[in-house]
Amino acid sequence: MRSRLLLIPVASIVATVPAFAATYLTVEKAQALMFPGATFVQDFRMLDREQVRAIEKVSGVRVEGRTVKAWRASTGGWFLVDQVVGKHEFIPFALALDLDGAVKDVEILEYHEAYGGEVRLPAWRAQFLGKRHGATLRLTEDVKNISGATLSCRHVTDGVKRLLATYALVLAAVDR
Amino acid sequence: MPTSGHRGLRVVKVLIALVGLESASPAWAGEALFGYSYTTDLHPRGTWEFEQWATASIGKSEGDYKRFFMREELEYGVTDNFQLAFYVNWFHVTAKRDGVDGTTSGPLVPEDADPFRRYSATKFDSVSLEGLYRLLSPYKDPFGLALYFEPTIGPDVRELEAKIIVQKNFLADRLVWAANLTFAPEWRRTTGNPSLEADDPESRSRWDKSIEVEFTTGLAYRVAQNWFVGLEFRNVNEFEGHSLAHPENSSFFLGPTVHYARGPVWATLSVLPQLPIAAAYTADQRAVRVGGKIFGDEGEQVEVRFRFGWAF
Repeated sequence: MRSRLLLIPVASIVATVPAFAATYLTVEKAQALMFPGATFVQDFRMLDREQVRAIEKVSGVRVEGRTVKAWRASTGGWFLVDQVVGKHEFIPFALALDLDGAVKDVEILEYHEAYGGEVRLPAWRAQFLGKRHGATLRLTEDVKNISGATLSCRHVTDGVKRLLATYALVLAAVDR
Repeated sequence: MPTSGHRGLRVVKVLIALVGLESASPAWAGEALFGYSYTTDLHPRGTWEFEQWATASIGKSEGDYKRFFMREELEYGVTDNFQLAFYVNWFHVTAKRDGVDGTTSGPLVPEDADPFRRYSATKFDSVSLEGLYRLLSPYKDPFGLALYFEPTIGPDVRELEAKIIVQKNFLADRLVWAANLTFAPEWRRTTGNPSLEADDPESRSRWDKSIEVEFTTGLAYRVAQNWFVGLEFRNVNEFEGHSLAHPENSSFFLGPTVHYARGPVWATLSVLPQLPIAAAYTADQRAVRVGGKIFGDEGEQVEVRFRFGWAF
């Protein structure tokens, strides 16, 4: 009897198998959604140490990886993919910039957390539209927070800020 | 290319949705990164979590002693900054000649147990109600700060536990530090030892009063997606009666903690051996201090705590 009682915690784990992983958009689908009718030329860049330091300095956000995953759109503008830290897993997202380097759209590609999937809400993502490098993007002041998703909101906001800085310092020269 | 009409409609939709976002203050799912140290993370308003606690307190200086203290907990986010929880607490204890004097004794072993034979029991202990209120969030403010209050009542125990919780995150929330200061006055009924003289107060059933003041701290780093690994430290100070004027002992625990989370489920394991640097402030406590560790009714060689949570 006693030994059976002590097995309750183990049984509760075995009975609960986490079975979800939400992939909302592939890179190709996000490209088609964010730049309808466009074709894309892959233009990945490898950041050197100076560029990493410069991006971190101007954005105030840590650069997690040195590869910039960027595509040029035939209709003008850039399509970028990056990821930020979520509560348990990374949150991959895509950023569309127009010809002037302003945010055209933000899409969450995957989200695996129990709470906070509201960062996918168009209303929340729309707060970034038109923002350029240098715009203040402070959570709760410039970007509204979502209940239950503070960490995701903050990191997605930081991710957008980092990509805007990356565009300004690394990619914008291509457009000039 | 959206028309100006579409654009206007979109702006209205955005404004409506943002009103909804604004009305909801920030929160984040409460899950335990540590076995003992609480963080300031709470459940979002209107969400629930079931949590299973299992704490094994193992080994005295002599004989055999094992205590498994189990807690079934249901948490609910009342608001984004206030969380309530209800616990059912029960235990299994088994001991044989584990006392420093070679008799069967120890926490949750009745004083009238046969001193030379094994004592084993599985019993309901108590129920608890927990309130946790967050004042500052580590994701928006310079650090997280929360207040905690938990009354407990059972056939043989009454306790009021109050806690201050501090949390600070570093390295883009990959490194989490938490610290708790706990103050817990307790009343625990003891059976009395009938073999003592009739005029000895310890021969009769009574309510013993004590206070536990505990400092816990933990540091955990996200080593991979879903995984945190860290260290946790506890300093437990026992006081006789409901005054801090009569300290009994101070014991220390340090050990690793591992946390795994995926979606709505998470599990945390902490293994905290007692360090051989305990202080004993009374003759009774000095008698149960062996190899620098406190035993008797207060401490064991190692505490292993497992917590499992399922948010829904």
